[in-house]
Amino acid sequence: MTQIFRIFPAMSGWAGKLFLTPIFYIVNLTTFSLLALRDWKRYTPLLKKDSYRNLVTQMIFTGVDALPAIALLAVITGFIFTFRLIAIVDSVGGSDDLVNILVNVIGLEIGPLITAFILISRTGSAIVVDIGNMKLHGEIEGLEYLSININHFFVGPRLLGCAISQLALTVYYTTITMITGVVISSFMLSAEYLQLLSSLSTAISPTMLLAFVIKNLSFGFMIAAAACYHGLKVVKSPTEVPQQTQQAITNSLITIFIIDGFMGLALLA
Amino acid sequence: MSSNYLIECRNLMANISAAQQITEGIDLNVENGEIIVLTGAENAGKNDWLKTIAAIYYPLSGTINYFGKNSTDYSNTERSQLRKRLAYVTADVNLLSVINGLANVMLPAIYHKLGSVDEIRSRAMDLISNLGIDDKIELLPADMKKDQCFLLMVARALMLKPRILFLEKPFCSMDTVSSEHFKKFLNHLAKQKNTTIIISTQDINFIRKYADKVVYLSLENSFSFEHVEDFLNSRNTQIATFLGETNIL
Repeated sequence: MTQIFRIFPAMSGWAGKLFLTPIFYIVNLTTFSLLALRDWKRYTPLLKKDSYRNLVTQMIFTGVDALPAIALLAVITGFIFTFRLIAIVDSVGGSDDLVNILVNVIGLEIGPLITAFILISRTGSAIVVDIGNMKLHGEIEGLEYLSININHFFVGPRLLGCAISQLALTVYYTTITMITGVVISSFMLSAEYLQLLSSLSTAISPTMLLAFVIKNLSFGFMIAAAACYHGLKVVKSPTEVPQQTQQAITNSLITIFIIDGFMGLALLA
Repeated sequence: MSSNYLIECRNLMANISAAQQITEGIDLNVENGEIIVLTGAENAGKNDWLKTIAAIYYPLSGTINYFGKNSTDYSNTERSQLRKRLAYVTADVNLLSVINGLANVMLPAIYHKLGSVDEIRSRAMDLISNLGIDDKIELLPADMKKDQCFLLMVARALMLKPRILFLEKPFCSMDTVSSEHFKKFLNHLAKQKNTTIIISTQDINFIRKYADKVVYLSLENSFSFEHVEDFLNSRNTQIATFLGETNIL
């Protein structure tokens, strides 16, 4: 009996911690991102083009430099997903809704998720290592001594750059994947499938387009937010850098699936 | 309190380690163009005191006025803006490792939009040249010696045209020649350019030659000297011992 009294508080404490930790994490991450955006807006004259130098640099690294990898992956997954999807629908006798299926599955689900995976592994991890090492070597502290706002100088451009890059990369990815899949299908199944290319663009409704934009912007934003947040959590030891990188990657993955789930529910409603 | 002083400390206590048993705080008036030295025994918390006076740390007790305004009256934003007037340089921080020496020096002035890029570059080159490191500007910080990085950090801080320059143990990593050159530069900065300099150091030669005021810190006491001669001729046993030891060193 006494053992139950001992175990119960420990169990309830464990359960409470398990429940509260992600909630605190989301609250911290949201507060951190909003503060970063506030500081970025406060110190950035929106009409001056030289204010966007850091933002453009981040977009070049995240968006332009990742283009070859995204293009290659899009061609491969065009075969894996688009062609396979058309082939499956073809084998069960075809469907009038094939265009809708492609837009929903490839455009709204697979495209944003695959692009987000690339962004997490490539840009997210790079941001954590970059900021973590700068924090560790006192480079960030040195800038703070010079009245340089870290949110404005480092965090804001990364958040916005990643968000815009995620959107742009998903457009590339989805377009290439669709074209590759349809072209392969027209060669291997039936030449009629080439007509899908013209009907795909008309099948995108304004609601879908809005969902596509919101989903991708929030994916990119949250990936960069988690990366900057964990990078700035590095304090003393070099071993903290890989630890924080690992946490940023895991939390980014969980966050994008949560966002995806909510977006799915919102679209259903 | 009068507002003629740049910084005015009254019974100021820094938030330092528990080993310290100082009961009386520091009184210090900081004026234009002065060189003030914080010196004292090892582990006396000189750098913590320096950071407290530089508005990086909050004081434990006492009052401190910056430019006639009590430190507690500064909002967080104003406190951040205060950093432009109170430049702090320490060897514990580093230059940005991804850009070269010149870009590092120009960075704060470009960030705070203190002129056109050409003006900023020309001012940065002047400062770097005066510090005697103009052959290092194209190098990345990783390719420079520690003292060269420190000098570039000093140049970087001076790009903001601060009223007061705080330096934490500036001569530690320097050889005799560069140390002597830097000391002359600091004296020129204070006396000709009217920039106040507050330094934590145990370099007694620097104190003898250039200091105007001295604050001596130990684990038990703190003493403020309005004139360097008072410090050098002090009959206090701790200070006499300190001066004797540093003379031998």
